[in-house]
Formats: sequence, C-alpha cells, structure tokens
Amino acid sequence: MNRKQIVLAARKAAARDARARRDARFSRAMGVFKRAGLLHDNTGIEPLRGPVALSDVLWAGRYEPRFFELLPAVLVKKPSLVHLDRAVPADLRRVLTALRKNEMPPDFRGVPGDDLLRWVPHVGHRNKTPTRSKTFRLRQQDLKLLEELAQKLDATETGVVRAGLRALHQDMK
Amino acid sequence: MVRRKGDETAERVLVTSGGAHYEEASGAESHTEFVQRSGSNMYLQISGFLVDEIYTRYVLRAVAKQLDRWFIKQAEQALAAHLPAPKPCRIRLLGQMALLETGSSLSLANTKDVDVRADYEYSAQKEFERLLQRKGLMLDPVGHEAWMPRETRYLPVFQGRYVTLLAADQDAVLISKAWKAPVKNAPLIREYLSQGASDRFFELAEKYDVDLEQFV
Repeated sequence: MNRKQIVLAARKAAARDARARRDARFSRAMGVFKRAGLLHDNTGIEPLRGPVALSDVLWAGRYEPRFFELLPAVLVKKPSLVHLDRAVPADLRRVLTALRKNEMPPDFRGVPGDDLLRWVPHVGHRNKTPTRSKTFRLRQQDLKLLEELAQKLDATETGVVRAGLRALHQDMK
Repeated sequence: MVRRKGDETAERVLVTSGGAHYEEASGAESHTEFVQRSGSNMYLQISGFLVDEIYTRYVLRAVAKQLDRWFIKQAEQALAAHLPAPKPCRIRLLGQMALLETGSSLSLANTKDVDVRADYEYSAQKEFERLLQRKGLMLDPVGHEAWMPRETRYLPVFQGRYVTLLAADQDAVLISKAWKAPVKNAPLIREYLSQGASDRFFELAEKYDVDLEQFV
C-alpha cells in the first residue's frame, strides 16, 4: 500500500472507531472508569457512577484497548465497579487467576502480561496486592503458641505469622 | 446548573459546535489556556474551578507551575541558610500526556501514569510525584525508559524560574507508540492516519520499520 491508500483505508477504519466511541456502551464504560480515576480522556464523556456491565467493558475494549489493560486489575481489586452480566470469558479468567496469586498473567487481548500486573497495586486500595491463602500443618503446641501470641499482641494469627516472618528476616540481615 | 461561558460563578461551560475552535474557560483559576473542541455541543464540568477537560488536558502545566513555586520556596530557604540554590530542572513529557498537553485533536484516553524524562534531583522528583498524586496521576517509575525516536522534538509547554516543561512532538510520540505497543495504540494511530498524517510521520515509520498497514 502506498501512503494515499493507507490514509484512505485508515479513514474507513477510523470512522468505525468514531462511531463506536459514540455508542452508549463505550460512554458507560468510559464514564465509570473516568469517575473512578482510572482513565482520563479528552472526548468530553461525562463521568458516571458505577457499576458498568462486563459486556460493555469488553465491547469498549475493542475500540480502546486501555480497558483491557485495566479490567483485570479492576475485577481483582475493585470488583464493585463491574457488574458481571455475563460469564467471565476463559482468557480473562486465566488472567484473574494469575493476578490473584500475584503471578505474571498471560497476555490478554493484545495487552502484555506485565502491563496487566502493574495496575494491581494502583486500583482500589493503593499499594495493596491480593493476599493468597497457604495451608500449613502445625503441631498442637505451635497452635497454642500462635493463639497466645495473638492474644498478647492483640493481633490476628495471620498478623503474628507476618510479624514473625519480618522479625526473622530482620534477624538474618 | 448550566451557565454560559463568561459567568464567573459558572459550574459548567458551554462549548458550542461548528468546527475546531477555541473557548476560554471561565473561573479556571490557574488555567488561562483554551479548550479546543470540534463536533457537537458539549458541556464541560467545572469542579472546584477546574474544567474537567482542562483538568485532563493541561494538568501537567498546573503541576509544573506548582513545582516551580516549590522550587522558589526551596531557593528562599537555601538563601536564608547560606546554602546553594536548587538546580533548575527540565522535565520532558513523553507518551499520551505529551499529546494531551500539546492540545492534540486526537481522541485520547490515558491511564493515570505519566512518563517523563527529567534531570531533577531526588527531592524535586518526590515533590513532583506528590503533586501528580494530588491530581490523581502517578509518575511511571520506568517512564524514562520509554523508547523515543532520535528525531523527537520537544515543544515548550511551561517555562518557570526553575522548571521547564517540554512535551514530545506528536509524530515522535505516535511512532514510539506504534513501534512499542501496536495493538494497544491501533485506534489512535488509525485516527491520526485518517486525519492525513504528516510526511514526517511516514518518514519516521519507514526509518524505524513500523508497518503502518497493520493499523488499517
């Protein structure tokens, strides 16, 4: 294709994109993401109170891929922003599983995995990443010790384990 | 409540239709810039003196101005304590924020991260980060690593006593985006191409081996 042909073909495609940006589904998704401070734009779409339907966000993402970049982090950290009006697609489910485990997710609809992962601490509660459950088998005396420490420190048992890990780490330095 | 432009107490400003034109935003205290719009009528919300559109479009100018004030204060304190004055800095905006700040006519949507290359000291960086955070933005910690073509021109956006804010030119930003993340930026590149992209853009695309056919 020469330059002229590229411009002509782009005009057609851009007209389709422009039509999509005027669609109510796009406005709803943009409005809600805008109000939540996740996206900024210069198209004048009014900020909207959430939630927005998942199908609207998935549709809008075809015309503004930044929705795809933010959607997984939103579903993990601020799920109240998106109403699940349909089943979560399999590719998105795989990404969510990885994000919940704090692991590198696979690429999602053209957005690289590390771009998806980096939004997790910045959506919802800042600098927080999802917690993960891990099972340990403890002896009776360990359990008793854990309970005692939790009572003494006025903390949860998880808090005691976290504090203990940090203290041990500090000790090893 | 909707009032017309020029009303100092206006909560909203009406920007009329009819081609690309400029309307001054009333009441935008530290924003004497203009809003450029084309297409249909639209209302711009003013919240606390900031028009939403101006807020997103020119927010970095306001931040640079605040940073400059912080520098002046630091310089005064340094003078009083017989210490050397702070070193002036130059902040180069990259990415979508550069497009927003230079008033690009493209439909832009960007996440809250700001990519810059700057020569400021650590304390100034921290203050810059704090000011951005107050505007709901964040400094991308690896933003300075973003690839930009060697031919990038930096346009002056704000010049203070200590802070100079520059924005990368549109062609360079779009080439960088097309090269770095073509899928994510496809609609943006398409829109630019449809507006009859500049010869320079095509030349840069050729030089950096960016396949423009993938966008159409």
